[in-house]
Amino acid sequence: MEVMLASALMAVVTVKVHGVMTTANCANTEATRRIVLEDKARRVLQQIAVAIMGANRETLIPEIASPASMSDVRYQVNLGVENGEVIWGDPERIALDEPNGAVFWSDNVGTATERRVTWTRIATPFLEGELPNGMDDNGNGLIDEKGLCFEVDRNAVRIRLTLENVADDGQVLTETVETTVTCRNLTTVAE
Amino acid sequence: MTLLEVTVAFPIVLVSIGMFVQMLTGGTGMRDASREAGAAITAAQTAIEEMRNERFDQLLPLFNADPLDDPGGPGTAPGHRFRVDELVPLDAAADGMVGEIILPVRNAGSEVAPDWEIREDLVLPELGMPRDLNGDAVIDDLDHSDDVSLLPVVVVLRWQGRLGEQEMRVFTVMTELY
Repeated sequence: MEVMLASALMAVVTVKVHGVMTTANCANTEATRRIVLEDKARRVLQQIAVAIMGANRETLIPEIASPASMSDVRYQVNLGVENGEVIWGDPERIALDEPNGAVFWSDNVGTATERRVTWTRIATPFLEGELPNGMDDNGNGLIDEKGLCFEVDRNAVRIRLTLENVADDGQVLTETVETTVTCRNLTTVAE
Repeated sequence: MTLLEVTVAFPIVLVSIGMFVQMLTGGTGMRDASREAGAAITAAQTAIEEMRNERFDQLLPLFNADPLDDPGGPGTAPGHRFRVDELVPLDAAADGMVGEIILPVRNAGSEVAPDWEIREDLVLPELGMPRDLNGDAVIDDLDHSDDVSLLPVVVVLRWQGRLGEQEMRVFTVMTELY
């Protein structure tokens, strides 16, 4: 009788402990996934921000003001001064490759020597909360903005990025980050 | 297995569960703190970049505490306080703002008729003050609003974090880029 009672108690406790552990583990895994995704989003955002910061404002194209935005920018950076002339680097590009969800940087755009570096492959087609319906669904002042979007305001560029991660169990995590950077190179490009 | 053994085993199991839960809670707290710090850094960087996007001679009226001297009309400038959506403001922050921009200014007027001066002789160690702000190699007690060439700025963020009240300070110096 005593053995049965003790076994029953132990069984109940074991089941409860297992339940607590499983729930805690799930919560912990989700939190970790979210942190990893946020870290990745911030890292990519920082890479983009540093690139834009070094760009020459007058070479930054296209120039579109809100509520429109762009998901593809081209620019040149100042490499230094030689004989009193500013030396400009090859045109560079940061863009969202929508079908693949890839955010990439490339230089020598459109030439045989074009180099391309993919910074992430989990960008979303549209920014979090936005739908392709000609309206500002997420209330950020932009219409139908992509998962990577640039908004130009004078010398500053606001960068927004949404990454999405689908876990093995099908759970979808979305993280949106944004920052503003100002182009430091304001020297006029010689024609 | 007897009831006595089970009775002895229970506290051991409970202590183990307690330690496990504490470990998880601690880890979650650290992660939240890290996330908050990341959001704070991004917010401070954004505030500084937005200042860099303005004309140097407009920084004082745009980012001081006085809404009356805003270039576009009273109350139109961003001001010295700003919100950060990802961070919870302190209870003491009556305006619900997390960020504050500190400039080397002093109100030489009154509360109802303020007269903001950029001064070199202010004792503000967090801004590296006193210091020469107009490049004449002299620290004086004059108003340099019209001839300042270096403007020290501190962006302070205070928020109610997962691990208690948090504060972050980011220092930079503004100058005319063009």
